[in-house]
Amino acid sequence: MNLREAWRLSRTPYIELVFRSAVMTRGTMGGFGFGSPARRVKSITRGALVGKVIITAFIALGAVFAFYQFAINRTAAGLVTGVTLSLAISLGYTVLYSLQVLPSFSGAGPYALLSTLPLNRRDLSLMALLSVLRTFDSMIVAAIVVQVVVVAYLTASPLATAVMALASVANSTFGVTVSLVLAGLFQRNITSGGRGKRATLARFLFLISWGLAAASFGFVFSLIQYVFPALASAISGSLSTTSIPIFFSVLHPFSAGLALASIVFPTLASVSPALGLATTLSFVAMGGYLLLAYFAGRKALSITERVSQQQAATIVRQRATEFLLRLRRPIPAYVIKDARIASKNPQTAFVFALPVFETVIIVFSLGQTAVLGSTAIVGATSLGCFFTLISASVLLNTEGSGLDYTFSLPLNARLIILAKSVISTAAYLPVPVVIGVLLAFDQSSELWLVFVPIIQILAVSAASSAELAFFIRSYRKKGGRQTSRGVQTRGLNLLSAGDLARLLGALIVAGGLALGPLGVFAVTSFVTQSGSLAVGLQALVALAELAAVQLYLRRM
Amino acid sequence: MVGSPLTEMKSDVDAKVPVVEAKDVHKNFGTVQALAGLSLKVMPGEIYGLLGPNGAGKSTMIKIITGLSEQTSGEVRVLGLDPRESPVEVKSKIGYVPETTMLYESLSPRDFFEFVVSVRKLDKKTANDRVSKLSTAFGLEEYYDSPIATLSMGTKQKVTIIASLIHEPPLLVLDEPMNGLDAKSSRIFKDVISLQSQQPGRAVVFSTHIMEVAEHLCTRIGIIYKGSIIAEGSMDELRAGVTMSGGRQATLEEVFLHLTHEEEEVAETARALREAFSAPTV
Repeated sequence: MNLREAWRLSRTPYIELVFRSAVMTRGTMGGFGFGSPARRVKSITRGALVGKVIITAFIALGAVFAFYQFAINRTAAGLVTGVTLSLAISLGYTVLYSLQVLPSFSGAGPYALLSTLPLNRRDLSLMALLSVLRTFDSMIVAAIVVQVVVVAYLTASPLATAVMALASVANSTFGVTVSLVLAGLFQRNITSGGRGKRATLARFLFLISWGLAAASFGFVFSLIQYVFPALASAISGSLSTTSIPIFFSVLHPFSAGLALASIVFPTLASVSPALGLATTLSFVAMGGYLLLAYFAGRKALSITERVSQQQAATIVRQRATEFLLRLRRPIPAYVIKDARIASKNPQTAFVFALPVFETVIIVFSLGQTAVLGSTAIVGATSLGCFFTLISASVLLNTEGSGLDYTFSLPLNARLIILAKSVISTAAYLPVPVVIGVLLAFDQSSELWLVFVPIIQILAVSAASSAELAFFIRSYRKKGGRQTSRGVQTRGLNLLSAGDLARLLGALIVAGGLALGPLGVFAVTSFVTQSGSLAVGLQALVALAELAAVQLYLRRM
Repeated sequence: MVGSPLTEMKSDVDAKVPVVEAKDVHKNFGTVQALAGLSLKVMPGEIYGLLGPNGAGKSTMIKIITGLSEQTSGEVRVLGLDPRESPVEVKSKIGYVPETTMLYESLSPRDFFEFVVSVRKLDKKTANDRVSKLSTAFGLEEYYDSPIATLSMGTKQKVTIIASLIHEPPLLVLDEPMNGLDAKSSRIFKDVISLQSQQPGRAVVFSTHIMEVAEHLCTRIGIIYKGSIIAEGSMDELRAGVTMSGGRQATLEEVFLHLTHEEEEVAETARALREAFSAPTV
């Protein structure tokens, strides 16, 4: 089979891949409109296409704007920033997009029918690989073309352009391979069963690793923001003794940025000995990364080959010796169910990373504050609330394919909303703990300020419930009355414009509720200078909000 | 046969009140009419089989009965309740096996049952007793702690069947329940259906493509065609409407094809297939 024919035929497994992934995360019945099955399939494939176009546009625009600084002042630091940011953006968005589209890949389902056809191993693997590449095609092409064209235009250096092309291709290869490896990790996590302590520990360790990885990913952009002033100073010669360039010269994508800048600015290496060593190391590192990209490409090929041959992971079963069930009240049962599923779903597992993320953010933001006064505490608490509220709607995705079954159970919307808001409120809990610890260690601060984030637990609970209620209600049939399903919702598709609009609406409502009590505290504190009165009023408003939201949920 | 706790159940349903009653039910999906004035009545003690060709509206009707979908017009009562007005109450009295087994793939059957019995607020002893008996009967020991994603279609079907029976519902609604079941489990399930219908005030509604199952299990059969019931009755009543050559009794398949006017189409397809297979290959 030639490449052209394989590309044409790979469209079928690609559509199956997209469809199965969507069903895995959002169920089949209510998730895609309430029309005929054909309409649902169309809706899913159209959604995937729109998502792909949006992400491609983000990557292309991001890659162009990353060079903004260099386009204006033409400095070496600007070029390092441009190349690094542009590569980080394309890598990050490619992996993020894959979390939406590739969950079904490692299960080998999309290739099950294909493997029954008279195709040889090579053709099967080729079609599987191309179906995966179809997921990323426009993103990869946009990233490589934009990065190469922009560098060629701005530097007019054929060598720099060639280096950019190599770095860009390597970067895209990393993106595809990381996406496939991640999909495999989650598949293994989903298919590993057992209730033994070892199995539970393995899953917990995986979860923590994923949480830390997800949190680190969030830091990539912050890292660039914090590192570059120092890097720029080092490059301009004002920080001649720093070892920052040496450290970052071996890290992708900084290495590509530094190597490319040293080609365009040949005098860069002579600015300082550290920078001289860094530029040399960056070329060595780039060579290493190109080699790594070669092996990453081979790894991607072997993964697709294994999956297309239906060689899924071996399943080891343990015979149950007893059938005892641990019964709970409906809300805790729902919370446990959601937590179990969320921990195995790449789209929702980041909820478990939130506590880590919040802790680091708050320590970072308050650590730079001289006095931990009420302004700093209100700011840090608001940050904590913001991250928590993002998690609430995403928790709707824990239903996944089980959504269809959930609809058949005697559940009302209130129970589901309360269960999910329990999880998002729990994700907020590190905020008062971290703030409390920081206040305790800061001799000059007033310890009573810890009540501000503690009282916010009530507001966060009210806000996340309201956010979910708003989101779910937006799926109710016109007329606003109780529907026969009791609950009419679906998972949140972060690549759907309609869903994002609903999420934005829900976040505005929730943000208002979360920030309301904080605002009351800030204003009262400023006007009366009385901490106890401010905290008292904050508590009253938070309680009133919680009561109002509960009342609303009962009437839903 | 399952040592079923079904026998311990007491009826909370009036024997004279229909378990399911649908009057002139219409359901439209945009311009497509899935149900066109369907009416049916299922009395306590009945095993009602909904038979029809693909796309006739069986699953749509079942989803309306279970409160998973709403009719465009018409009236539906389940155990005296309107599924639109009292969805939670209706769902608490129904055991439902969907056509496609879409479950929480990353949960194990044990996790899944824990969730279902907790939501249904069953007491611990009863729940454990029933799950234990049903899981043993359906041979689920080996799969009890494995993620549902790793189970075969038939095993997943067993999980949904057990989940539908745990709370001993007055009404079992089954959409193609035999899908993927092996012979042993199929037999056990048929016994469970029979037992269910023998309990006072209980009934079973199920759709199937397997004529043999419907013929031997159902006390009454409704043949659904293009969104409405075109014939209804016991096997004997349905047979009476079809005369076979040589005075032979019609099978349900023959009755079905006759009533849905598909005899000609089947004969034509068979002829075309024979020609296709006998044609010389190039």
